[in-house]
Amino acid sequence: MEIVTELQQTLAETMVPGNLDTDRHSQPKIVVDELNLWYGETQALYDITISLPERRVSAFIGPSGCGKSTFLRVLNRMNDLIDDVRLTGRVLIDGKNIYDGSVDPVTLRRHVGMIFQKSNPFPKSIYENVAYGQRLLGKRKKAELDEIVERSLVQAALWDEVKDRLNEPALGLSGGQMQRLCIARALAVEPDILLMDEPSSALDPIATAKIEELMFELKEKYTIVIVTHNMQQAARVSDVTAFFYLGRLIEFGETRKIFTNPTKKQTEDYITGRFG
Amino acid sequence: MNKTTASDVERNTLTQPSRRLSDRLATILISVGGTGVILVVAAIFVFIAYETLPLWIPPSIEHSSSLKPSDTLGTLHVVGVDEYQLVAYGVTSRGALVAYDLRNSRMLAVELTESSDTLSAAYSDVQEGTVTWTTRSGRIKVSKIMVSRNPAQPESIRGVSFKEIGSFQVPPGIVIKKVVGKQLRDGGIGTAALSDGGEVYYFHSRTTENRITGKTVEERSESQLPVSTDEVISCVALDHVGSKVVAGTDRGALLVWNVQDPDEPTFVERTEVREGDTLSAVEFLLGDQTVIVGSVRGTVRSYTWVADTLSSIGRKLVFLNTFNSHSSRIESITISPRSKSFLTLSTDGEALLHYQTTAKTLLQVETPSRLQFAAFSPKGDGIIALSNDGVTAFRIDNPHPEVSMHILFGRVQYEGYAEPTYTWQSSGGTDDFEPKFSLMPLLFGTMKGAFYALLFALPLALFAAIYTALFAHPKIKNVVKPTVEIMAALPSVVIGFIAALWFAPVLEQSFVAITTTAVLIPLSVLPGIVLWKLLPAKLTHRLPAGSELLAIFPSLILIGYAGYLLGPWIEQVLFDGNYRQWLYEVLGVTYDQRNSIVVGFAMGFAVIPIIFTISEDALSSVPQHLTAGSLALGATRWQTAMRVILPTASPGIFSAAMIGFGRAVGETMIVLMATGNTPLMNWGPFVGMRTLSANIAVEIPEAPHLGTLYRVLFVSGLLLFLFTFVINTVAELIRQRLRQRYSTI
Ligand SMILES: Nc1ncnc2c1ncn2[C@@H]1O[C@H](COP(=O)(O)OP(=O)(O)OP(=O)(O)O)[C@@H](O)[C@H]1O
Ligand SMILES: [Mg+2]
Repeated sequence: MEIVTELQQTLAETMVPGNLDTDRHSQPKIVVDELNLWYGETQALYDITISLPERRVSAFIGPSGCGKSTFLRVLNRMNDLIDDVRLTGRVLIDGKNIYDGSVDPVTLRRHVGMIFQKSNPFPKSIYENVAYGQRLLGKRKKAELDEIVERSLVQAALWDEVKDRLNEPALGLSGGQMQRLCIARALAVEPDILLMDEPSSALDPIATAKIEELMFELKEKYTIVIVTHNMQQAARVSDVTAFFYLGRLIEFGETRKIFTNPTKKQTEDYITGRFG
Repeated sequence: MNKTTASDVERNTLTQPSRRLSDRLATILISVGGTGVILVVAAIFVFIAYETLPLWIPPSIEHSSSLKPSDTLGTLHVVGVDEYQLVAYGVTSRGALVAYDLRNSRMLAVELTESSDTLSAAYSDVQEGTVTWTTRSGRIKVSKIMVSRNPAQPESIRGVSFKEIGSFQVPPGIVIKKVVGKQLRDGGIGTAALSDGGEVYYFHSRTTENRITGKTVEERSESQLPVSTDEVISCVALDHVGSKVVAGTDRGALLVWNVQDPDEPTFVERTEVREGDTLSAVEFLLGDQTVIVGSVRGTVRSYTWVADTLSSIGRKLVFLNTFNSHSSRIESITISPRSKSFLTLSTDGEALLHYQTTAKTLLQVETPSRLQFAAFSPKGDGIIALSNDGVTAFRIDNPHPEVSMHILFGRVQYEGYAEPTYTWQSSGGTDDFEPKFSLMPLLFGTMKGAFYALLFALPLALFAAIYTALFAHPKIKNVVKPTVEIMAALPSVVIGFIAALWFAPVLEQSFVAITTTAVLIPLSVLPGIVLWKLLPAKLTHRLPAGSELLAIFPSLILIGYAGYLLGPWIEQVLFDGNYRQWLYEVLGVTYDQRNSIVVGFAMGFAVIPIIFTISEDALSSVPQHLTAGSLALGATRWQTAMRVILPTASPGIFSAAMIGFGRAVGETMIVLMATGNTPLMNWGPFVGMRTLSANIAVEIPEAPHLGTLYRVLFVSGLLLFLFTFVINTVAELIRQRLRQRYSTI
């Protein structure tokens, strides 16, 4: 019970008044319809139907192994890289089914960026890490690249810390800086959607705070989906929250409502820390 | 409280005696094994290095005995010594031949001839044991020392005598100031004599026995050598076969006569060797290909005959080397009967020992009083010297004069060569052969072999590794990787055998067809891909991964076969039906059957597994999350492979290439069998090579134990050892740095 009140407080502090109103008018960016997914013979996701709003932060919560990461990977077809994955149902982004034969997953991934739990900068310089996506697209002009690199690093709130050492190896950065570098790297290709799989789970509170702050700024332009195990984080940063359990979507709704007044018993148990 | 701390746990487990014992034992075993391996490697290195050491030990000379001859017969003029360095002999100023036992100064033999006459010139040739001398009355005699000894005990001398083998008469009134006499290879006696007036006479006699009648016939001839210049001849030399007489003049020129027909000597050539300098001594070096020339100013140089198509006689004399100078006139030059060593002696009594090939002056012969004459012992391992106070015998220890750093690694102008070259030719048909120990052609061959092997192996192994590590379905990978690794188990002698006896002839016969096929095969992949794309997407998606290969194979086989059929046609059109002739006529290259292409394939085949395995490991161990990161940014698999995985794995791939290179460098059987073992320095693909390792295998049967070749082979072994050691160490260091780098990602 203590936890619930604490969460409610957090929500009261962080939620901008009127946010909920705008939420109601927000267009669904991602619509998932009757999604089932199997790893070989084992089913990992069951009948997921959900629609995620545009320019909002959606949080996925749920106990370990419930399929949050799997579902996140469905959204940019990263599961294609895993052998023996099979799925049914539809995933519409901006109204287009991304599992349609005509969709090129490579192009899709450019529009749906992903940040991983463990930061994974390439063993290249800071500059080259950020410029990587643009170089893939064939951009060579130094001036244009410089501009994109600076803008992305500014957006990722890393510019001031690294502007004097752009040509140093990215692996020399701190963990939090590396994660922000990965965000900058994803932003540099100008995606519409950012998928973040526990982006701050390996970071200290200060770095976590920076990333969360970043999300507030980024949602002005991007649709963000975040997986987290940190209830406070979900409550602080997200507008809508989805609770997964054993491969099923148990409850989905406005974050404030999920945390203050969950309709399902399982959700409440999970949020209050009775299991998971 | 029942809490146990970490140290408690540790103590508990360690106090178990059996565990502690096995822990100790393992530690000891591992450290003994590890240091043992290091020690063994170090010991091998030390052993190899030790075997090469004598090559670098400077020559030494050691006084062995001396004697004081009696003056009653006159003073000694020239001396010689027998092969065991026990008997010293010579001719005295009064024309007496004397022989002494060097151990006790006892006179062993004396032969007085024309006791009233005085000596005008004398010459000693230790190789045949002859002394030639001439008297004021114009007699020239050639005598040979005969030492009879107990065959079982060469030390015990039964008797010594002199046998006159030649006798000539100079025209009356002429006094000879220099004489050269030799027992020639055909058994004849040749003598060249220089008179006070500068004329050169050549005397020759040969006794032949009629097999049927048993009668002996002596042919004799004497002639004055024709001179067409007004120069004054100052010294003469005669070769060991009686074909050439060489004279030096006061204007620094060498005159050469052909005396093969002793009745009619002909003047052959005049070569300016030293403008303005009066030559004072000249002598043929062992092998008669080179002359050593000394001048009145004390300089010593060597000149050699080289082939010259422009000259009417087909050869010319060219400068070879300069040796350390004396400070006064060179009086005599004596050569070693066994090697390319020679002694120069000057007026002030300075005697220097030089070595022709290396152009080095090895040592100085020193006697208590002024030296007058010095000669080698017949085996070349000693020197007999004549000085004011008697005869002194020296032993010289100089087992490997023919090797120096410059010989091994530098360009050297050998006898008979017009310019300095890198040449490896360890032995020749004759004893007077000048060994050529340049390791450069072998190092070159080693590099060339490894280069061609990598040219073939590196792209193949690398692309195979990229494909299996990054693109192939795990099922394919599980088949390909062990298969390639099994390739490594194929004994290299089998590969060499197949390459030399099957592949080399096949390649020679259908070179154009094979090349055409090799060019077409990569191109055939393109139609394969088109074919794959033409198949309906629904079908290709349902087929198991890796079945795209099925689409490529038919076009691969078809186009390969097309290349095979096209070959003869292309040969007909481009190369006039015979590519070997075309190569020779148009490009001026010959096609050896066992050539670099054969080696490239065979040795490439041998190094592919190691390069493949190591680079495949390097590629697969690039962390998965880097791949994911790149793909999530919208990179294709190919872009990810090229821009992220390959650069990250590049140190590992580099180290794979290095280790492959090290393998190729050390590989022996394949190169031994498939290269033809020609020590050339030619990058051409159609000629063979000889590598360091194959050279050792080839030469070992020819190398006498502890001989120079034996030690030079150890030098090459040392090089090989160092080379592979350095390459493998560098590769290993890079691999370890790589591992560290991954741990931080
Ligand atoms: N590559 C895979 N192959 C087979 N099964 C997988 C694979 N990845 C995930 N799974 C299975 O799918 C289920 C869901 O996994 P998923 O990683 O999506 O869970 P999660 O909710 O992200 O858990 P966590 O919170 O621990 O990250 C698990 O049972 C897992 O074992
Ligand atoms: Mg997860």
